[in-house]
Amino acid sequence: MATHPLTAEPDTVLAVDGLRKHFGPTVALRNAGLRLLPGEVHALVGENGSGKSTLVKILSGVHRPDVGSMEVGGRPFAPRMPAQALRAGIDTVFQEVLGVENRTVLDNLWLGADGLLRPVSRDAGRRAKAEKILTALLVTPPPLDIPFGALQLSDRQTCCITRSLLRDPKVLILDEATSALDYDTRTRLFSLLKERAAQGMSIVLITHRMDEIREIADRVTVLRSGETVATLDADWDHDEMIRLMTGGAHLVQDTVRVAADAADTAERPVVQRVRGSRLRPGGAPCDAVFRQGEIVGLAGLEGHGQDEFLRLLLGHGDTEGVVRIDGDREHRVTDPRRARDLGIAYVPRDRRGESILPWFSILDNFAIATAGQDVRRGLLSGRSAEKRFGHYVERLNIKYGRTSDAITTLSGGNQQKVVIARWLASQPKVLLLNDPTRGIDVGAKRDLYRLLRELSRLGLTVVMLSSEVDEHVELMDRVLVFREGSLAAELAHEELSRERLVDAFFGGAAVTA
Amino acid sequence: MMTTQQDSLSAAEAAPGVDAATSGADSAEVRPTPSAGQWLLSLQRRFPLVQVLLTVAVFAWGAATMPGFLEPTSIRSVLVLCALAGLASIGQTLVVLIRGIDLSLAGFIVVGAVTVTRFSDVPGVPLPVMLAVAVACGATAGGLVGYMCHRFAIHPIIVTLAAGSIAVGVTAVLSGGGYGAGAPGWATRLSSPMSSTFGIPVPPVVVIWVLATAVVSVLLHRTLPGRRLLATGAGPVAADLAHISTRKVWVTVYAISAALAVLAGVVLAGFAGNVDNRLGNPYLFLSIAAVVLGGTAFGGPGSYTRTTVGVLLLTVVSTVLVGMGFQEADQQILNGVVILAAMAVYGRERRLRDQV
Amino acid sequence: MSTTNHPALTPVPDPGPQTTATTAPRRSLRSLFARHTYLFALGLALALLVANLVNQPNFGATSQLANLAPLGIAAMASVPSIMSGRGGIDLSISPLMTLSALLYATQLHPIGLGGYVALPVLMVTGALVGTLTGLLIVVGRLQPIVVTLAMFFVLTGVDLKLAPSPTTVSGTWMANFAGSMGPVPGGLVALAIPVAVWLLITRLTTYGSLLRSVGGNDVTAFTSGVPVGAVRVLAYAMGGAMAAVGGLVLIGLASTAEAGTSSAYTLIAIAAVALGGIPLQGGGGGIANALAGAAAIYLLQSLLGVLQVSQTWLQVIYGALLISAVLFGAIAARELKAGR
Repeated sequence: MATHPLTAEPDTVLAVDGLRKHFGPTVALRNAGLRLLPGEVHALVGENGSGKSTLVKILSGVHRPDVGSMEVGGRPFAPRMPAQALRAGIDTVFQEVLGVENRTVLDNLWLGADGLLRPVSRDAGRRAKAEKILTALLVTPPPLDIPFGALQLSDRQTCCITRSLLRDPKVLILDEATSALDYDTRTRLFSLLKERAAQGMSIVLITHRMDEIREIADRVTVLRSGETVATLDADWDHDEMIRLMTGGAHLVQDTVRVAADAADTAERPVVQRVRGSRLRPGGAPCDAVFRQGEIVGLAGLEGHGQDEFLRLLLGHGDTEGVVRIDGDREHRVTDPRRARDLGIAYVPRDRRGESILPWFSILDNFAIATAGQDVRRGLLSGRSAEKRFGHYVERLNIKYGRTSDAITTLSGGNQQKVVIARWLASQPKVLLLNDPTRGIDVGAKRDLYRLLRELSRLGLTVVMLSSEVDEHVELMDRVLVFREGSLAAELAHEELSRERLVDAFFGGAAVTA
Repeated sequence: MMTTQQDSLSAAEAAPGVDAATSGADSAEVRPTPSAGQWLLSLQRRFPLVQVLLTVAVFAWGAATMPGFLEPTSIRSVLVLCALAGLASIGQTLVVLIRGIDLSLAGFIVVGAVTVTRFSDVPGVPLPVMLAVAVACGATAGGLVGYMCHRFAIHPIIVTLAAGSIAVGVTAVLSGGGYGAGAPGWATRLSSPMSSTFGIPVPPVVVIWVLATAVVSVLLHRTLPGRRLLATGAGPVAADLAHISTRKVWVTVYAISAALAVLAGVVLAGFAGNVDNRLGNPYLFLSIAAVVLGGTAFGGPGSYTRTTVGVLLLTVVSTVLVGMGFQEADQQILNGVVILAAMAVYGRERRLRDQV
Repeated sequence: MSTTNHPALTPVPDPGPQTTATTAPRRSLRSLFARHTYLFALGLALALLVANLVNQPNFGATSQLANLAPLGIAAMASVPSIMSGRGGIDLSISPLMTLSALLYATQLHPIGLGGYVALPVLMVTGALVGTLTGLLIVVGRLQPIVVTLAMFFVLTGVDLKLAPSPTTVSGTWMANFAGSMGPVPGGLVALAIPVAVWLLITRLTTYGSLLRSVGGNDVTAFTSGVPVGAVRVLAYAMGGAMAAVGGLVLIGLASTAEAGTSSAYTLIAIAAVALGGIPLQGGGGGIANALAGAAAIYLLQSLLGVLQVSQTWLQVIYGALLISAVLFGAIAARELKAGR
């Protein structure tokens, strides 16, 4: 759909047209637009990297667009900082939970409501207002005087949403703000949002969950590669939506999708085993085995134990029952260094903070974990590293200018490929990946899937934590589902489906709207 | 280094674009053909071009306006000043490259200086042994500093400030408050502008400095330990996950920095003649200014050659200023302004908006 | 499936013990110390006070308070910038104090502005210098520690230019800082001025809350509409204004103003705040920490003097104290985090 069916309507609350934004070499938004009507719940959907977050950050005054026009209530709107957007009545709850841990819940709820040097208001009404909304959202609202840092994740995010609701904005933007909420709170939030929308508040909802959109959204705007491709009415069709989002292609191409034969996998030798380890103090013990040449997914709602499990395989935490099995010899994985020696490699989640060395060249980023192999007569040999890197360039389809360019000149997907090459160079037997496809484009994702498939066929065991349900359904041979800090279910490839998986996230209870 | 460390001393190379490219949006890449301006900018990023040009310009100006500026003796004196500052800045360069800072430098310089002036003729203990003991003590103390900073995620500025104070204090206690008669003859000859090295009409300290520059550069950029050091600065967490023991790097770098400061103190004692507990202070300031001015950012990128350029620029500028009749006070102000200017070019932090 | 059958669809297993742990104070000493960060320093100060009183029969409160005042003020002046976060240790406080003294001695006093009017004039000057520091940090996006180090050099140089040799100032009202002002010890008055500035601004206005929030998490504050930059700049300005008062006390104590005191309080003021238990990552603590820390250090200094410990040892002891203070702080912070 080339032209987008946006028509100027007289009573739009927010009108956005032709937004363009680039960051360095990357174009995040090409031509984004949005029309928001009073009192509507408007979902904004798109794949990772489609520009949703950038659009939200522009609307909230965090970033400024290169070109494009924005109007609020018919007047030009060009916020230079969040404070100005808030004053214009546009309030955003970000995906990341933003709170000041050492301040009380009450302080956090009213943060930013006061000016810089105003008399302190001893307004008892504030307490009451805060309590009213918290009670509406939570079964057991937290006391207002405890530090924000003492709250659990779901309550923290609820507080962030409450902070915005308290300001009673014209437009409320929820940027995947519901993903950290527990099921019950989400339900309560939605009924509160409907209520507010009925009173005239416009709500922009960004979510990956189709059921949420179906349940609450009046209209849906689809973004793809930084462009608004369509705005659909409430009677949208699921397949149509997917087609609009992906541009028609499936995540994993059929040629790649050759899952290992289940019967065959069960025969293969076990390479790593977990027995009786606890992910958290007081949690239930976990048992799991990983076989040669498998791709195993770790799934669950954010923060339900899959991260701890991955760390366990790497040698952090209660490693008593974690062993690497090599033929008939068993070695305990006591710590990360030991894990490396046993052929376990780990690709971290936060590419910028944990993986890449920002000003190092592409080549040095590749070689850093195995630089010992490049030492010739005491000095590091660039030629040796080049040669080693050459093995992976083609297999991973890494696109770069020169190997001496800084790694940051590459796109996120190519950076991730370099990082994976770094670890493959250490010749691992088990490859642990922590959500490796977060924020990389579809093309790079496909390259990655193809590579993982190929590697597994060559006998590498891949254990991959992913927050994307589709990734589990389409790529994994087997998925371990975590809930409330322990291993809750294991789904074999033939039982894998979106519904089964999401069902398992919620403890087997049917999730119906 | 832990998170606090990262927050407070994070290298600020992160342009907003870089961040976005890695964290979120991943759309098509645009590769514009570089213009001449961009080419110069990328050259400047790899080589301190502006600093070199400035040095040459200031030098030329000094030569044109000041009689006797180009005399061999005066050039030699400038070179000696450069060498002294350069030797004192090696440790600081390494420390800045791992996102630290070393304020204990001044203290350890005093340790080295007092060792040669006060303890050079202790009966029964030959001076080399005495020096070795001093260097070993310095290295141990430095290593402890590095350990504490890393283990407990404490800002190195505080720990090194304290360590320097302790070093000066302990030295004063051991020497009974006196600073001795003066440096032995060999130490004086090291840095006397009139002395020569194996027949070359250059003072030994300059030759030592040139050799040190070469050795440090090779160690830093062409060997495995050097690569580990740079990686520790570039991305502490990533380095840790790449199985580099960043704690070991911190301990080693601070130990080396302290040991080199003790040795620099020996040379400085010879140059200054008489020693007191403030001997190291100007060199502490110089070292930070030279590193930052050369264009080494906290956590890199950077190199000791850059610091060398920074040292040359600073020394030439201050020689010209002194020649024009400016005083210590102006020098101090200049130091501050220079640090600010260099940081504004190289060491800016990420915008708050890019951290959301 | 009803909610009652489904109590926790939450990431963290059981919210119960957590909430109780924070609402009903656990009676352990450790958590008490962790929450009131100045208690350690206060306890130390009290113990040292007793030791001093025992060893020093004529321990005059008035002169002791006067001697404590410069350190106390330097420590308090360091507090706002530290609280504003990003590692905002202001190294330029000590030379700024000296600058204030020199400005009085060489500029204000000679032109007849030596009266009480000098106090507000110098405080405004100090605030302006602090504002400059803050602007360089916020607008220039430079690391606070580097900017304050640069300011340290610049101000030290300015001090030297103003007075290459010590200037004697005698017979001014400032001498009262060393004695008493009416029935009140002058040192107490001197300390009370910064305290009053602090309390007025942070308790009566919204600024105190914003400062803590910005120091605690600036990104959150930014997205919530808090003018983060202005809050930070104001913190440095406040520190500058407080430091200016310290300069006048220096004159009162010594009857001279000299550039040599430029770096005298840098190390020890940081030691005082660190010993006082202020979290150096920002967001927490207050001037109570600075005062407790300064008192402890001053009393230790005084006790060592009485016990005739050599002056050369003092530097070693300061250094050791500083390191143990930050170590204690770091370990306490970790305990607090782990205990949560």
